[in-house]
Amino acid sequence: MSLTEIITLALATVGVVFIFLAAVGMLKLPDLYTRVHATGKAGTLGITGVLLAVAVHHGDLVAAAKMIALIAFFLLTAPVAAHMLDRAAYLTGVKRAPQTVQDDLAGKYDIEQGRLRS
Amino acid sequence: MTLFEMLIAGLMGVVAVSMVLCAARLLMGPSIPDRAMAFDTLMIHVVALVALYVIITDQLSLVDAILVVAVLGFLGTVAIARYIEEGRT
Repeated sequence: MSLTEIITLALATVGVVFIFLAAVGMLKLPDLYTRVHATGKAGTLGITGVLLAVAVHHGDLVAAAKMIALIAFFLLTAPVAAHMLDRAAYLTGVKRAPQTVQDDLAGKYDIEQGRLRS
Repeated sequence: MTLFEMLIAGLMGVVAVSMVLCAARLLMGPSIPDRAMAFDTLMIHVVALVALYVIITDQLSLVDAILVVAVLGFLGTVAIARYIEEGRT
């Protein structure tokens, strides 16, 4: 194996490990709010590793530019999607796990308007 | 098949197993946001699978397919989240 292939394998392995751990966490964690936090790892770190592996393996400027654009897209959109899902779940009253100790948003959210009281 | 291609194929197998776990959450999920989140993660898995396939077969045209799947996954998740949020009474 050449050096390029070793670097490609290392980056792809890091990405796949993050994605696999996110899937395991999504199955095992107790409630929706913790599961969304697990998904964010797959959407940012896991995808970044795999796409960087593609860029390193090809060594082509056009492919590398496309990969960096895709990574930027994922880094921008994955937290936005996770936050929107979390807010929709909080506003519709999805139950928390019983071992939750603190809810910082309790009483601060105007449920009818869907906005924070300032 | 070289050793490198076999190892990348093994990584594709790990991603496939992880897709099964996501599908289990998609079927079990007690609430609608749970299922939407499982769908979002499933789209991420599809992107990773196609990216590993590009490494094995050197078909760079599939990169555009990755772009389409990424945009569709994000837009679908946002649409479902807005639908849940606006549809509450």
